[in-house]
Amino acid sequence: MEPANPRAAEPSPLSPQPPTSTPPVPPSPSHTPHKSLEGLVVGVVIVLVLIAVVVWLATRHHAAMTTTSTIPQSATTQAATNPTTLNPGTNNQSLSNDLTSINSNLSTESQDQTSAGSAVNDQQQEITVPTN
Amino acid sequence: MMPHPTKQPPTGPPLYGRLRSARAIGCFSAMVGAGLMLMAPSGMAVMAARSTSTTATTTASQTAAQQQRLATIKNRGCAEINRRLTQLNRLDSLINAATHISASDKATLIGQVANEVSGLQQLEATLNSETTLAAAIADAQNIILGYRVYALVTPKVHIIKVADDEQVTETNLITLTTKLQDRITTAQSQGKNVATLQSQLNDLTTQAKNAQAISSTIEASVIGLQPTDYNSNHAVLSGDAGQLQTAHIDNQAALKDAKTMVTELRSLQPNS
Repeated sequence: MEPANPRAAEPSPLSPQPPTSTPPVPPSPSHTPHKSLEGLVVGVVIVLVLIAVVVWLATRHHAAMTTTSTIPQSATTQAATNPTTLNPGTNNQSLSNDLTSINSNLSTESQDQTSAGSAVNDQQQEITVPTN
Repeated sequence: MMPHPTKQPPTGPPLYGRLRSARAIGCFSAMVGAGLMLMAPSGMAVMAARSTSTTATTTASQTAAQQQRLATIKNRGCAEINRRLTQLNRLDSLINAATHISASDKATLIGQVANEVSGLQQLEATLNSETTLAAAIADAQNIILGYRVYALVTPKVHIIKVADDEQVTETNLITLTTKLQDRITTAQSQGKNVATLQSQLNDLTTQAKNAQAISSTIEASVIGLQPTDYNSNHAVLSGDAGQLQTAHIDNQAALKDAKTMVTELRSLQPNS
């Protein structure tokens, strides 16, 4: 149910308005030393925040640069997991990388052998076109 | 008489899609033509009946049956050709995507698939234009005998792909044997006992070389096979997949040796 006159609920712009602001409180002389101490603390906090922000930005920039320089190496590593040739090097890490690569080669072999097994059976699809 | 498939050079992928519209129009034209051919003799048969000639009626009926049969052969032949073209398109994608297949094998296989595609497209046009049963039957038989898409080309592509995969593995294993030998020699010069390591390396080398002999032999014997080879010997690919499986097992054994050796070398020379 709507009210008979919805506008009646709205205050008229001509009606007297209640006070919206409180009168200013006169400064108390006893608060002045405390306030200057507060200001000092706030200033120190602001400086600390600024230092933290600068340090954070610098760290972030360094991390971004490091990431940028790392991406190609990471991509190279992934591409090299199933290479056609091994990288040179005979140290322990190189040998471990070689094992990973050959293991990946063998996985490819296994997958392709499964497909080849099915393909050999495709002879059954070589049906004759009925000519009768 | 079986028409020989026309050999044309590959003109680039996609092999199947570019003449699909033309082939669809060809099939449609053939069906319309067959329908007209069916209608014409039917009209003649009615005229013959009106002239009370029983013999003429029988002849017209036989002609109509032959035309119906001709239309059926064309429709079924068209469907079989399209099925093969789809399969050849799949093989073309498979060959192009393969990373371990050698460049020469890739070129050979792509060329063969392209020739099969162009030959089948031409055969389809020929089949659709045939006006006699005998010629249409010969064309239909040529879809199978002239191309052997499923009996030869499909397994051939897969077998070559596996053989080339294995040759990559075997080459890497043999490269690894050289590295391992260097490390064994160094360990020996440091006074370490390397007898077991040397024995494992010898086994690794033997396994890798055995596998390499199998995969290279299979590759060499399969890459040049043509549909005529299959027609004269249906067992031409028999046993190849099994032999490649043996080579795969050899490679697995070689890798197992290599893993054992690397672990042992790490303990002998942890700072290397």
